[in-house]
This record gives sequence, C-alpha cells and structure tokens, in this order.
Amino acid sequence: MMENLYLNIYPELVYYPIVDFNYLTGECVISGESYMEETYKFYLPVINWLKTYIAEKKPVVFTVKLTYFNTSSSRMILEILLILKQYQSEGGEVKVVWFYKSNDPDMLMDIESFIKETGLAIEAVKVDKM
Amino acid sequence: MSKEQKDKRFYLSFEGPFNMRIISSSGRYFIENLSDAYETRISLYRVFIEICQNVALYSAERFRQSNNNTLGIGRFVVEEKEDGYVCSTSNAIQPEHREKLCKYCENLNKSNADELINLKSTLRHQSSLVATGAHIGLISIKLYSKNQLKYDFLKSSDDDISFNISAFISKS
Repeated sequence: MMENLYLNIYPELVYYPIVDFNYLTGECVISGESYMEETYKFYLPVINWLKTYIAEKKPVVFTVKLTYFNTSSSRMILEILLILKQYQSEGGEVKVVWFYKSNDPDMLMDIESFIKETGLAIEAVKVDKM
Repeated sequence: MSKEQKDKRFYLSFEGPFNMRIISSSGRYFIENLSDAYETRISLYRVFIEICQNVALYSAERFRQSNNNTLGIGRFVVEEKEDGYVCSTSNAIQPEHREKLCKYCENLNKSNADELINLKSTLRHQSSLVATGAHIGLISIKLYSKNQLKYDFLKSSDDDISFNISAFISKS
C-alpha cells in the first residue's frame, strides 16, 4: 500500500508549502505559500506521488489553500491540474477545490486562469480567513 | 508637530546576493507590519517577491554559494509614497539582452489585463517543468501592481548594463 505524502520540510521557511496527500481518503491538500528556489526539486515527489496514486483508479479531492505562489510554482500547479484533468477525462473521479481570501481578488484571477487553461471545474471558495 | 507628522514613511533597501531567506523575510515584513489594507500589503508582497526573483534568476552578476548554486546580485528599494509603494530593483544584464528586454517591457505596458493573463498562460504552457524562467514574472508584476512598469538601462561598465525596473502599488 502507498504511504501518505506529508511535506513540511522547513516549517520556519514560509516559502515552502505544506503538502498533505492522504492515500486512504484521496484528500490532497497543499497550503501556505510557494516560492522556493528549486521549484522542480520540491514538486517532483508531489507529482510522482499523484501519478502513482491515480494509477490505482482512486478518487481524488485536490484542495489548494495557498495565499501566494510565484510563477515557477504556478507551472508546477498547472502540471498537477493537467494530470488531474487527464485522469478525469479517462474516467477518474476528480474534485478540485481552491480556497481564497475574500479580500484577495488577484487570487481569484489566478484561479480563473487555471480553470481556463486546464478545463477543470475548479470550485473557488471564498473565505474570510485562511 | 504631532507624532504622526514626524513619522517617516517606510523605506527599505538592500544590495547584495538575492538569497531567498533575505527576500522572504523582507517581504514578510510588509505583510506583517505595514498598516495598509490587506489588498495593498499582499500586492506589494507579491510584486516584491516576483521582482526580486527576477534579479536572483537573471542578474548577470552572480554570487556563488557554498552549495555551488549561484545567486543574482543586485539592489532593491521599497519606498512608501503618499498614495502607494514603489518597488524597484537594479541588476546587471549583458548588453545583448537589452533590446529584447526593452521590447518585452514595452509590450507588457501596452497590454491590458486580459492580454497579460493570456500571455502568461501561453508562456506557462510553453515553459518546461525544469526551467521555468521566460520572464513570466514580469507579467505577474504588471498584473499584481496594476500600474505601468517603469524601466531604464544604464551603462555600468564596459561589459554590463544596469537594468532598473520599478512597479507602483497603489494604496487601497
């Protein structure tokens, strides 16, 4: 059986997000901020875990609670979303939920851009606090 | 003169290698300590991180760290004005990059928000997972600041040119 993926490598460094992917429930949450220097190095195990997980044809709920991500990270998030879109088009059960602060219209702009780019029905959830 | 009148406006500058810890801790200060509305602070934070990463990635002047990675060397200034914040960086570029960079910034300034979002999406799709540069950050700076980019190029030495860019973040 696959193990859960939990990454909180440098809790003192805010530019690394917390990744909490649960094998049993299929709930995959990424939260915090993301703008580290070696973006690909950080996200590679995340992408690999997801690919291995969906190979088992299990449902996925991908939840994003990021308050900021830089352009390099946005490329990695796009990759994750494209993987999920492909999985969905092959019959996989996929739900994507993206939380954003009510006073952060730029984050909603980014979410809408990802919806347009991927064709995924991302549920944007407005909250007062993250 | 009241205490408020004597209070100086915010000013922060740094010159040296653009290490992520330095960039991040400076940026967090804006989020955690400025008294402006969240919309202003988060915009300033995002613009600041993107504009600084531009220096870290593309400055022609490099600092080699103990882990053998190199960091771009440059300068940032964040200065409060009455109606907003000016976020500026300066870094060396190679002379042959000047024209391309100048045209790119010109195009960004001519583009509206929808055009910028589309350009960002296109370049993001085209970029590889490993090398995710392509100056997409400059598009984000323009989008998050919602104001024209100001930039110029100054000759700094026989080999390099100094690229100076600034974004203005209006107070909400």
